[in-house]
Amino acid sequence: MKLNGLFQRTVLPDLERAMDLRAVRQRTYASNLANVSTPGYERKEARFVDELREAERQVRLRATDPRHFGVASPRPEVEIRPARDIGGEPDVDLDNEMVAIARNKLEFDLAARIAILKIAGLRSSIHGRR
Amino acid sequence: MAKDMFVSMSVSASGMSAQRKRMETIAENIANADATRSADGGPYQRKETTFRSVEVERSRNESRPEHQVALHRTSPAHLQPKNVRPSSESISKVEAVEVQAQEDLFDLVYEPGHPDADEDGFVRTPNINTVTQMVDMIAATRAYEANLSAMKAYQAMVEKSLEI
Amino acid sequence: MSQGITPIGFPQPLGFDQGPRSERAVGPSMSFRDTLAEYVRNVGELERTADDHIQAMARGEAVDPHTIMLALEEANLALDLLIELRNKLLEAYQELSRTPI
Repeated sequence: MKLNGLFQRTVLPDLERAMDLRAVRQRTYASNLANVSTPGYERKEARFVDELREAERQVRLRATDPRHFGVASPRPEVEIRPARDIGGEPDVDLDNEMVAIARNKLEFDLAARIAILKIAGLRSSIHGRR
Repeated sequence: MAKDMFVSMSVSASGMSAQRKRMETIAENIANADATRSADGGPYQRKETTFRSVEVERSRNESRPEHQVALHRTSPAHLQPKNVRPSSESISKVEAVEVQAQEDLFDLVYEPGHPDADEDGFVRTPNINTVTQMVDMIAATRAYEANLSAMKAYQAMVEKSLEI
Repeated sequence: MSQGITPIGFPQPLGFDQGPRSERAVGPSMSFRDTLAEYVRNVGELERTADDHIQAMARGEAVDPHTIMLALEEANLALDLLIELRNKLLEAYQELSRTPI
């Protein structure tokens, strides 16, 4: 969804962003579980791109020029990285991964539910009734 | 390669399929633990399962190289471009293949009266430790169920999305 | 509609404002026609975004279900709003026409 004049000042873009993260995260965890027996597989995690910038130790950009990161950045995307690189657990543990999946699902459901209610509320205010 | 709208489901399904193959291989080993004579002559040869990951394509929500802003080095304090990490990794399905074990295939058991004993009275038997195989079977079962629960979680998330 | 008339009985400001206003806030300083034109544009954009996702899905591309659903709902909401605006405009116009001179 592009940032659009009508909805950009509602919480809907944030909710969509939250759901985007959980969707990518879900398939990342699925990948980890599918490869629990694969030798040499690197466990992966998903984060927002702007959070990654802080998590990775190597990259330190000083914003001394408008062309650098951090100035009018586009809508943050989600990236998948090896967990080892961003301070996560490097090995796949079945139980931990399942807990992560369960939590992730709840977080997704929460955002979805709020979005549903919000949209219903907007619809009501358009039609002038509650 | 055809793109997949429900990638997560395919990934989890591949995990289930791979663990199932592993379980079948273990079952075969256990069943043939005492087989001193097999179809192609000689004792049963222990089998193993090898796993390998298969990358899948990224989808729309993830960052791609063209979304990254190009770095302009305007100051010596800035990093070389090669120090900047590449963009998003892919997730992977898994494939399992049943293969012949390569080492320690046989045990020698002294049993002169055995029909398959050699001239010294030793019988070559498969080197299969049933206990080890059972432990492996339990691990495979757990891994199978974990993948199944991942698939169910994803399915519930999609169904939730449809309520929007 | 002439410049500067604030429509009767409309919720203020149009656009589901939940936070601080932007520089281009709706008000007497901005013509209603411009606002309306902008909303029509917005509706078009949202429809295009939704169609874009649907076409991607039809091509078999990996679009997340929640993305499509949100885009569809937003396009629908925007259209609903536009239709309500139109209805209110018509009402207001009819009111005005009935006013005895």
